[in-house]
Amino acid sequence: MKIQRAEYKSLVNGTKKRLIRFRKLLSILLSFLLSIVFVGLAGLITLSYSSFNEKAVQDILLSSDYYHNVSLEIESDSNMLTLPTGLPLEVVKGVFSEDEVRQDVDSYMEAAVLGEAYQPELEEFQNRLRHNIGIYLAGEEIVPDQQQSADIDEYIETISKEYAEAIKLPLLEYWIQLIQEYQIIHFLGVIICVSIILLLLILLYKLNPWFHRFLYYVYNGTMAAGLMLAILPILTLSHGLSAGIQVMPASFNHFAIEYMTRCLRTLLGISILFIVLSFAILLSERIIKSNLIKIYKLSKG
Amino acid sequence: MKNKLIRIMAYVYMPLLFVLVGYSFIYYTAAPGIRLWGATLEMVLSDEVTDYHPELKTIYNPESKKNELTVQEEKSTFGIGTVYQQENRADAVSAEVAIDIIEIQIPEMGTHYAMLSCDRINLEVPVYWGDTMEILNAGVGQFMGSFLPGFERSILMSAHNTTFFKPLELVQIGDVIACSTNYGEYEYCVDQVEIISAEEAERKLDDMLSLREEKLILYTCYPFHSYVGNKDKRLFVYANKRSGPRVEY
Repeated sequence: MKIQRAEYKSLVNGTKKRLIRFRKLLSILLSFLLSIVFVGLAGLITLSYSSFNEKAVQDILLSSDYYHNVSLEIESDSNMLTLPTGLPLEVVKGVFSEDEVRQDVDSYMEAAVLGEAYQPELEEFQNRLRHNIGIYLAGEEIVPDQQQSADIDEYIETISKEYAEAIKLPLLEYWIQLIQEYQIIHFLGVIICVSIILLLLILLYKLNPWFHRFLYYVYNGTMAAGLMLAILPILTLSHGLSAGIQVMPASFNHFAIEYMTRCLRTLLGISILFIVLSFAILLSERIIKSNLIKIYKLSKG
Repeated sequence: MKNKLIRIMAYVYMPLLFVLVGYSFIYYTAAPGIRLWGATLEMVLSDEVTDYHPELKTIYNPESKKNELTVQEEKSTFGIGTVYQQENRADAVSAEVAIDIIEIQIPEMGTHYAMLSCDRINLEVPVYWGDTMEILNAGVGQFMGSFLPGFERSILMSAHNTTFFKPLELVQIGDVIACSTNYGEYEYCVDQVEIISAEEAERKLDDMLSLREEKLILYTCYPFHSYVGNKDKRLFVYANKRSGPRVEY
């Protein structure tokens, strides 16, 4: 009878140990899945708040000096077109202003987001250019003949077309298309991620009756997510994007670098949040565990 | 103690293990997407910083060793070839000097390597290798499919007729155009001036470049003066080599 009881006890203890080990392994797996889902959710938030956000893009246009750079490019291109015609470069001075460039770039972007076409008001520029040319011709006492008048008209038309092309933000149509497709992904993705996170937390809580053990696995998940999110931005930003990205024109290149830097910084910010959260959870876990040990010691006397 | 250490380390190695496994998991799961985006990004990524406004450089040095040629008694300092005694530059016409190509610094795109001058028409302009818009704003641009002075082939140079080649309006047959480089002083004598349409100039380009003699060809838009409008004609000035060292290559 005693031997049977001992065998029964060891059988029960063995089963218990296997059950505990199984719970541990399952908890580790669920914690790992939690970290993956956290990474996915962070990615969706980054895309939503920095990559596919019109307000963020407008901020980046300002911070990357895009309007000023485009103005300089328009001036440079106009000079290149003017020189072979025999006209002095002064005829182009004062025709375009940075404020007008800013208004047209913003209007073009807003129209594109709404799916509309935008054509800048070129008549004003053409009148200014014609006025400057008129002053020059009068000063040189040149009376243009029919062919020269036609050439001047063609020159003004070419300068206007250059301006209309310059105010268009490159790749904007593709970006807008991506936003439209992303909106559905974002909506469904966030719902799915949050649901999975809640489910995983509930399962972890059920598997670990001791609350501090539950917190330990949540800590693993959040800390791993924070580290996974931090590595890519840290490596990329430390290397520097200006040494890597090469797109034309130069104004758009500065914008692209600032855009990607902003996205990576958002990702880094979210990773820091996760790391801070994981330390808070770790602290809670340690406090609860030490309180439990105190209670156990007190109960033992 | 050992168990305590293992428990403490678990707070470190568990998240790190998750990171390792997590990256592997994400990579293998999203591999097709990652490869597609990677291929797209490769089109816009480069290993070095792009210079969108490269500054024009200069290698032209008016004090370079070519001046030693004017006072030489015996051997050339330039290596192969024979140098005849020449006491002043006027005798350079009869002198035959050869320079090894390794003695020459071949200019890169956008580099000022020579000066072009003609006293009679008040021409004195810098010559750059290449003929981009930026170069034509800074001086005379040389077509990179042509040759440097001394190579016994055609030398094709262009500039705007409103700026650097404005003096060509006064050029005549018999004018001497000097081209000063770091490795030699060259003189060319104008033997032909012609005005042709831009289309005809495009057609004649191959013929000009395939010449087997050293000829300096300057071209610019035509007409001159304060003409406003598209200039559909080109002025070509052809000049034969009169003096200057030959480059051995």
